[in-house]
Amino acid sequence: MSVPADTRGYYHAAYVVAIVLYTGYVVSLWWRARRLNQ
Amino acid sequence: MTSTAVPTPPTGNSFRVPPPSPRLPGAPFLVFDWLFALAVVGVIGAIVRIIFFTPIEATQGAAQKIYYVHVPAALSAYLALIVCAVMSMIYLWLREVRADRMAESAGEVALLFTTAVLITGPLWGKPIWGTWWTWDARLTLTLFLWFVTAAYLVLRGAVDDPIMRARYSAVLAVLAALLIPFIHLSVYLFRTLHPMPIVLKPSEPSLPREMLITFSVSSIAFLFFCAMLMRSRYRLALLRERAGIV
Repeated sequence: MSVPADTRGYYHAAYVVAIVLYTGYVVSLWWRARRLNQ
Repeated sequence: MTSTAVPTPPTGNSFRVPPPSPRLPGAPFLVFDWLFALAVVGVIGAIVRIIFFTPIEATQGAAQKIYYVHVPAALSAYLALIVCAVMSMIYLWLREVRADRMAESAGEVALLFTTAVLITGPLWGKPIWGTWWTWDARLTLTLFLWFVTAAYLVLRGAVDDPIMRARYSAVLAVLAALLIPFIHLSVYLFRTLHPMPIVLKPSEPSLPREMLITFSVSSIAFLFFCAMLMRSRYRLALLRERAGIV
């Protein structure tokens, strides 16, 4: 069986991008709700 | 008898300053609640399982694990778009403003998940296919769906009249949802570089048991997270309405 190429960089990049995207959207919802406070 | 000129208020195209919106104390806590927190915990749990308790695939290496975030994001985008289209149809039928608010919320969440699909896909494709992008049917149709969903939100921001805005955008949402079956079946209808479904197909799933469990856990967690995002965005829309922002 051949050893798979090291593709961890792409794997880590995909998860970091996904987490940043989802967290950013949640923060944007929080920010828009917070503006209704002020 | 003398007459005095009485100043009249400006009319016509004069600029009017809108009255200040009422303050809504604790608004962020009305948007997010314990169910949302549960969805976040579910997604974190799924990611922990993907990273620490799922084997690495023999030929693709670690990049195959992108599958567990790429496909659930696609399923979540489908869910949000279907909700957007169904609520749009309800609006067109009943003229119910709440349905328009829900469609708007689902449309925004659909754009978020379609963006995640279009970013994680090339990050998986580069090490496996040797290219970031190819203009095959599945990828091109997904990109087209992203543009239509973005156009839906731009249209909503461009039309001032709430009734016309709801009507125009509802028609566009229904048309956008018609793309979903074409996207899903594109790998059968055309010769594409994108692989065929290995779980969502008529026959048995082609994944080993451990990977199938991880995929199922991740899909359920992301679909629940998607539903909670739509719910929170809908609550924000209701708060904006209460504050007089239409």
